[in-house]
Amino acid sequence: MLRRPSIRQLFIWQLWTVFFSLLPSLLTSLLLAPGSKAWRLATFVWMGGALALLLLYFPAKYLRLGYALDQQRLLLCSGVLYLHTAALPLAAVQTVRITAGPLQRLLGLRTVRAYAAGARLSVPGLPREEAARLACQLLQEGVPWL
Amino acid sequence: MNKLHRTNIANALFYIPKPAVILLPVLLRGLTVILTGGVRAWFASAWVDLLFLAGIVFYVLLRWNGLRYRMEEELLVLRLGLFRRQVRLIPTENISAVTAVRPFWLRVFQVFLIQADTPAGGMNQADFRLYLSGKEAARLFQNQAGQAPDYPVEHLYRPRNTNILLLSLFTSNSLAGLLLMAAFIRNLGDIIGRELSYQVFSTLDNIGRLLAFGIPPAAAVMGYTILLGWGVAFLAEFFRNKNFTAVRTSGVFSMYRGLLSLQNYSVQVDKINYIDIRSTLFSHLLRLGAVYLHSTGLLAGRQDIIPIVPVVTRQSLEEILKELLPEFSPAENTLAHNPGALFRFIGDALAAVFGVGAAFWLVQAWRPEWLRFTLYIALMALLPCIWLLLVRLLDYRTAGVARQGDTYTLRYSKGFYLHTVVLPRERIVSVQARQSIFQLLDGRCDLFITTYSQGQARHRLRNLELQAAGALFGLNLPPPKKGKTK
Repeated sequence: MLRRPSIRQLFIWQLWTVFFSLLPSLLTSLLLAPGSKAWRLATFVWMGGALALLLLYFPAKYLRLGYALDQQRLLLCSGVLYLHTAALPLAAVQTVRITAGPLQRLLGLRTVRAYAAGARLSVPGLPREEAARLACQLLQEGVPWL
Repeated sequence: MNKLHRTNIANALFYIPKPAVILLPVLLRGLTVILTGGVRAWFASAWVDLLFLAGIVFYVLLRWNGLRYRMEEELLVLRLGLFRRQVRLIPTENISAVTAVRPFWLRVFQVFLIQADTPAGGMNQADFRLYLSGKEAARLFQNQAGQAPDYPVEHLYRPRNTNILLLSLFTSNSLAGLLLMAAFIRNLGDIIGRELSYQVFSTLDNIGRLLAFGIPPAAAVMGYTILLGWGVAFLAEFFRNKNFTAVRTSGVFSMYRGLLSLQNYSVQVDKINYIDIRSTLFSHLLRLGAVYLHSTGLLAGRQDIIPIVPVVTRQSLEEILKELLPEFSPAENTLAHNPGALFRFIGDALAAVFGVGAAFWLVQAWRPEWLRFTLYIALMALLPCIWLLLVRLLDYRTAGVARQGDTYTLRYSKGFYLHTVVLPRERIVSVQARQSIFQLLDGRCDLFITTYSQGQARHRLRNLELQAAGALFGLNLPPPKKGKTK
């Protein structure tokens, strides 16, 4: 059964979208005359893009994201246009990293990254305790892959 | 989680290079003010520079303050990052190699640069990288070895200075190539100084004016500078390899080397990917060779390979290897290419030789007045092509593969080097057989063997018999069609 990351991760993605939307907004208002055709077109483009990300892309990304851990492997489902399912054998895991950006730290979230030789899987948006638990579970020796 | 410890202040050095870039405009500004307004004017505005400096120091200390670590018997924990925090968890059993370097300029701090790496992560930096005290460094090496430090040393090898000298000579950016380049530039200055100024100036005005400004002295300076640069590289290599000692203790292989900066490497024998006995054309003819060891994480950024036996005679080399790493003794070829495969080996080198000749003939036909110049360039270009041809001829004589139990010995050439690679079966990641149209008719193939590595470590064997190669490496290949000639 797949576990979903915290809904706060979706909020973080949307917050970054709003923040980065400030740049095209600024450029549009500085470089183009307000009300002109070019201004209207540029505004339509950046607003449309931002809204698509906010209301369609990131919610879909969040709903598709899920992970599962058993004795043999870590499974991660992700993707929006293409659905990706990746499996990493626990026996292949070499190191684990727990990272947190400033917003994630503010909201008590972490991203867990499992590294194998030639591969890695990243599970974002886990609450702090769950991230620590997952990291410990990943580092325990798993059953051989085959 | 248990408490994380603060690191030695020397670790603040990691964070200096990036913000130090900001100092460049500050220094330029200060220099400009001093030159235009004098030192007093600079003093009056020095607060700006001091502010920048204080900012950099504050940033570096802040980053250092966020750097914490903990070393347990089974786990290394490293916390780093300022805005983006990161905690790295590294089980000690997954560590392939631990290295310790003690730069001479840090001796006053009594710290070692410790790097521990696993097969995962990036190639350019180790997973765990810190300046630690000698005591902590010894503890990490002890964990890596998995045994008490007072176990007796099984085998110790300390080469002579002559061997170190030869190794430094061969590894200092190709001595022969640089001598060639220096000679080329020096002689080019003599030839083109008079002729090209006249030729190019009359044919291409702009380029002639550009090249008319003292080419011969500049060429000479360039040549001597390159030679001086090689000399510095040679000395650096010699100092790096000085006091070289290789020690085998139970399941651990350790190396120590260095004069000014002391370096210590420790590898678990079962984590060695392969050993590589390398020789150049000259060293092969002189029956000399050097042994390199490949293990993930050994030398981050230098493709994980390090010399373990400096240049010695082939006979001594095999004896030393039998003592230090008996698991990696090379075996005689059991499978090799057919006698008719000569062109497969020398084809591209021969093409290069004829290519140079053809290019010379074409340029000569187009510009006969440049004969001396083009002849010189063609001769200089021919030398490395002929060198490569000779290496390939040697490769044709010696190439092949052997299997002894679960260990393979591969003999092949790559570039200007001849390699004898000994690797365990379990370090092979993939085996690929490639056939050209002619090889399809012949039932032959080129075999590409990829070994365990953070980057790509690929070994190529030419023109082996497909079915035999498949059987040797355990590939379930379909039998050949009837009537196929071998």
